[in-house]
Order: sequence, then C-alpha cells, then structure tokens
Amino acid sequence: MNIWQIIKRELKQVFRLDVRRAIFLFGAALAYLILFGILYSPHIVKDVPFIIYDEDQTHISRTLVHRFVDSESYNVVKFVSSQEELQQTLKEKTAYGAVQIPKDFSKNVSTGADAVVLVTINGSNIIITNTVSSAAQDILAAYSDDLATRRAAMAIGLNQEAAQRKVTPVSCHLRVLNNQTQSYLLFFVLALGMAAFQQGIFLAVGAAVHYEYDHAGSFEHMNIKKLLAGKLITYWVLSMISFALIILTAEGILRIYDKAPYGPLFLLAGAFSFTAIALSMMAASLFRTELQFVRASIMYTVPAFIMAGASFPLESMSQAMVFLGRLFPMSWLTNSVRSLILSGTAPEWNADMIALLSMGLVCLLIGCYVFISSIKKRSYSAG
Amino acid sequence: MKLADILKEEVKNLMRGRYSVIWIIFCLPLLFTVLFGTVYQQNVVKYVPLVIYDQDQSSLSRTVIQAYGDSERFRIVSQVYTQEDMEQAIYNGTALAGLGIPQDFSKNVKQGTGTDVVLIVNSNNNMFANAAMGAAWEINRSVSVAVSQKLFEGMGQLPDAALKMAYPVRMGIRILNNPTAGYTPFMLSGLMLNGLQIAIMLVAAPLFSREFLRRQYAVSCPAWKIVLGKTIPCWLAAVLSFAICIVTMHYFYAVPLKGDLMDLFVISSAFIFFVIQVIFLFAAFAPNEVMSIQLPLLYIMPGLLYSGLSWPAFHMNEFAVFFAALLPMTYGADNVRDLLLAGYAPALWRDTAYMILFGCICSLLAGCVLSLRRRYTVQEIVAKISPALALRVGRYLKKS
Repeated sequence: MNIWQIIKRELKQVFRLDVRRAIFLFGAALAYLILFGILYSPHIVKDVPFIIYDEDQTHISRTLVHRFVDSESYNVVKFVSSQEELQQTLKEKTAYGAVQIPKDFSKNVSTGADAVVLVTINGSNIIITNTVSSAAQDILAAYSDDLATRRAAMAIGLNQEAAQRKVTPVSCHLRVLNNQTQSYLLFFVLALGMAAFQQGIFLAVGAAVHYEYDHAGSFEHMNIKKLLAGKLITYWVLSMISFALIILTAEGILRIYDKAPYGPLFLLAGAFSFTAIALSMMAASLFRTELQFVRASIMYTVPAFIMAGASFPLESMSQAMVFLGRLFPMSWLTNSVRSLILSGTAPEWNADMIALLSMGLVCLLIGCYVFISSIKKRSYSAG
Repeated sequence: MKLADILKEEVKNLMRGRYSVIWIIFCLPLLFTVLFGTVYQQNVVKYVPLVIYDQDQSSLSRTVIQAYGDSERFRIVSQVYTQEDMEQAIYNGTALAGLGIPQDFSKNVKQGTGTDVVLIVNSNNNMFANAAMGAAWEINRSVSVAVSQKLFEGMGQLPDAALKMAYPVRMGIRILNNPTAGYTPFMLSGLMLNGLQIAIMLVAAPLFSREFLRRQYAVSCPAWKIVLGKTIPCWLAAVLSFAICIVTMHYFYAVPLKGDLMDLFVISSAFIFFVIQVIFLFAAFAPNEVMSIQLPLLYIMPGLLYSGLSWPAFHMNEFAVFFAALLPMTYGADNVRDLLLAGYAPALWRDTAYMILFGCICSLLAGCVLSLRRRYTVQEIVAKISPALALRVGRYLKKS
C-alpha cells in the first residue's frame, strides 16, 4: 500500500466506518463554540439584582438613589426599610449587593462631616463582586465630585468649572486595547474552542490507533511507518480544516472580529495540530485499550485548559506551576491565538512555534516506537 | 439473585485488574483540588507588568509613579521616553499596562487647570485588565483627592476641612463570604465537584454498559436490583471522595468551612446520586463501553461554566437557563460553595429535592432500557418499531 492508498483507507474509516472520528474532529470545537457562544452572548455581566436601604429619605439621598437605579450595572429589585431585611434579602440571594445610605447622610453632607455610604456585596462570585464594586465606585465618586464642586464653588466663590478642576485635579484617561468592553465572549469562548479542538483530535486519533491494534493481524501488506505517516497526514489535514471551520464560526456566527493575519494563525494551528496528533498517537499507543485511552484523555482536558493560563494567567502562577503548565501544548497555543485574533499580533509566536514543533517531534518519535513495537507484539499473538 | 450478591459483584468489578477503576473516583477530584489549589495559590492577580512614560519628570509625577510601584497589583518593568516605546512595550508583551503622565502635569495641577494621566491596558486576558483597572482607579482617586486637598489648603482651608471639601462622600465597602475576592474560594470547590462528576462518568458509564456486552446477571434478575447494585458502591466511593476533597481544600488551601457538615453531606449525596443516574441513562443508550463515556461528554463537560458558578444565572439567556437546568452542577456547585463560604445555602433543600427527583427519573428510564437490552439486541428492539430501519442498523453495526 502506498501513502495515497493509506490516506484513502483512513478517510474511509473517518467518514464511513467510524463516523465518531469525523464528529470529534469537526463537531467538538464547533459544539463548544456555539454552546459557550450562547452562554456568553451578553458579553458582560449587567443587571445585578440589587437592593437599596435609604435610611435618610431626603432629597439629597434620593438623588444618590436615582443614580443607582439608573445604572445599567444594577437591577434594583427591592427597597428595604431595615438592616435585618437587607441582610435577609442578601442571605436569600434575591439580591447580590446592597447600598445603605445612613440616617444623617444629608445632614453630614451639608455640615461637611463624614458621610459614608456603605455598599455590601455577596462576594462568593468574584465576577459579580467586580461588577458591583466598580459600578458603585464610579457612581459614588461622580456623586461626591459633583457635590464637592458645588460646595467649593459656594464656599470659595469659584465658578463651577474652576471648582470642578480643584475637586478633580487629576483624572484618568483609560484606553483598553483589544477587548474594549471586557467581553467574556472574546475572552473565553475561543480558548474553550481550542480546548475542544484538542480533545477532538485526541479522541479521533486514539480511535484510529486502537483500530489498528484491534486489527493487528492484518499487517502483512502494509509498511507500518507508511501507515503512521498516512495517519499523520490525514489527521493533520482534517484538523486544519476543522480549525478553519472554527475561525469561520467565530467570525461568521459569533461575530468575533478577527484581526489575525492568517499566515501566522494557521502556521501556529498547524504546529499545534501536529503536536496534538503526535501526543495522542503516543498516548494512545501506550494504552492497551481504547477505553483506557479515552478515560485518560478526558481526565487531561480540564487540567490542560486551566494550566494553559487561558483563564487564570500563567504570570500569576508560581514558577513550578508555570513549568508544569508549559508541558501542556495548549499553553503554547491558546494565549497566542487569542492575542492574534484580538490584537493581530502574538509576541510569543516564535517561541510557541519552536516549543510546539519540538514537543510534537519528541512525541512522534516515542509514539512511533511504541506503536510499532505494540503492533508487532499484537500481530505475533494474533498470528 | 440477592441484592447483596450483586453488590459483591459490582464491588469486584470496581476493584478488578492491576489498575482498578475505583481509584479514579478518589484520585481525580483530589488531583483537581491539589492541582488547581496550587495554581490559584496567589489567590488574586497581582504584579501586572507596567511600563511608565513620564514626560513631566517632576516630584508630583514621581509621587504618582511611586503609588503605582507600591501597589502589589503592579510591577513596574520599564520606564520609556516616547509614546511609541510605551505602545511597543505593550504590543510586544513586555508590559500589559502602560501609564503615561503628560508634560505639564505638575504645572497644570498647581495652576488648578486639571490634567489627565493615561492608562493603557492590554485586555487580551480579562483577569489582568480587571486587576489593572481596579487598582489604577483606586490609586488615581487617592492621588486626585490628596492633590485636591492641597489645593484647598492653599486657598486657606484647614487640612481636615480641605479633605472633606475635596471628598465629601466616601464609600465603605463590605464584601461578604469572600472578602479578598480570591480565586481559590471562588472556583476551587466547583472545580473539585467538576472533577468528581467526570470521575463518576469515567467509572459508572462503562460499569453500566458492560452489562449489555457481558451479561453478568441472569435475565430473570430484575433491572432495578442491577441499577441499585451498581449505584451503591459508586455512590459510597464518591461521597467518601467528596469528604476527602473538602478536608483537603479546608486544611491545605484555606477554603472556609462555615456550613453544617450534615448539609454538605445532604447536597453532595443528592448531587452524586443524580450524576450516577444520568450517566447510567446515557450508558443505557451506548453501543459499547467506549461510547458510554463519549456520549455524555457534551452534557457533562460544560457543566462547570453553565452552573452559574462563574457566569451568573440571572444574566443567562433562555436557552442557557434551560440547558443549565438539566445539569447536576447547576444544583450542586453553587450550594456547596455557599455552604463553605457563607455557612448557609438558601436553595439547599429545593435543589436537593430536584436532584433526587431527576435522579429517580433517570434511574427509572435507565432501568427500563437495561431491562429491554438484556432481553433483546438493539436490532431486535428497532425491528419492533421499523423492520427497514433494523436492517440498516444491522448493516451499520456489522460495518463498525
């Protein structure tokens, strides 16, 4: 059998005899993109259920209450009238945050005494904590500045504009690059798609390797090295088509604006596919049955995703964890793909390519050795 | 056959071989706990690499830079002398944030004309951007208030009055349950629970589907006994594994354990029961042991992110709410975290009841399919519905 015949044999297996492999290769990442695209379609967390406890009930306190009600970060679900009711509502999780305006708030504001507004947050979920606290900071800072400006203008005899510059002499102009709205869709979905892409390759290649193990008696007409080369080429081409589908889905359906130059993006994906195929060939060759391999590959998925720094960044992990994380091929792919797509550049692209190709080569050599010796053993026991 | 005999057989099935599968139930959740507990050891994102472009080079601008340098959220990696260099440092990944101080910063402040500092943040990773923007907001606010106070003092106000004039309304903040907004209390229990449900899937699914292939029990043995016999050893092992992980999280990773242990037992028991039964149901439809694990993948794996543990349930769209409602993690994860961090879980009993109910439904369905498949082959069952379809199924099964 020549390489072309082996490729045709492999394609027949993928698309006719064992359709699972095609489903894993093309379906896993697309399913993840769509599933998590739907979950993260609101992009950012808004409308956090919120309660207001206005003890002061004056004109001044009500102007502050209006700012909270008008904010799109909050969905004011209740106005409470006691501390106990506030605590009970937070405890029942009817609301996740509360603002409490103290009794003498307007009096303190008028006399220049300390006026403290208390914001309470259920901090179990830090995404909610971030949304509530940053919106509250903005609202209260703006309110405080407006008040300070009016008071300074009256007390010192300045016009409003001059008073405002005295009150906020230093302001911050913020420029957020690449993911301006801090969208979770842009941040997370691509990384999850890459994790599923890897899993799809693993399961498909694992099935291919174990198919040969199960038919080890029929190898007289086949050169095993050619068989492996045929498999590598077939699955590499198929996984590149799958990657192209991922990018098309991200752009076309999820509306992720892709700034990536296609050359570096597909080269990186090509290097990763090669490594993932080689790694799965090696791992699958080491396991006696497909069941054992499938178990191991599923156990690998979540640690590979977390250790890749796709959510909690690698830079915030300890040295030992970074070293461990760098042993996972995902860690050389996810951040650079995200960076390429969102910003058009990936500063670590060269290092990623070198690392992926080196890992892939090592895994391929070990995988070939293990596969050939296992096939020989099985052929011997079968024949 | 007595239930006790089935139980003995199933325990043997779990312990069989050189690498008995029961270890997966103990080791995988514990591995997730230890590995991710160590990953999140820093707890929050700190030391965001920051590049400084100080055009002013005054004592005031240096005070601002020092405030950033003193914050543990930032790590100043370089000072540059052009805007292009600052942007380049961010583009080439040397820094993830850049602080630009304009030329007449100090002069404008003293003259009371107001001035801007510029903060550029690379938001490829939201975690960095959130940490940088939150910390920068606080630092800038402190600097602005301090400068404003000085300006009012210069206009004849006493220091205390000047401060109150500059900053009349302050915000007090009280964060309940996870006061440091740490990642470990936020995610570790959910990741552990996710590891547990994956482990259950890897063990329970082949355990169930092997009955179709190997016919360990006589056809006369009722399906409910087999389902129960397969459930009990898995359930016991998983509950024990859950307890080990909770102890590990509490003692080694400082995750609070404020809730009642009995409440934790109740919710974990119901969760594990639901997971086992739903996995049995998937396995009941799988043609072989390998497929019994692969079929529920798209159901089990997204569970963590759909559970409301990170992306909140109140901000999901209708499809997401519906899909989440089918997943065990939705009913288990948030309650376990609430019990650990807050000491109470308002939805504890409601969600426990749901999980028991869904578990029973899955168990009933899985039992029915098991009963059918032990008596007839897939082809025979399909033939009762459509003989033509049965022929095609037969051809497919023969091919594969």
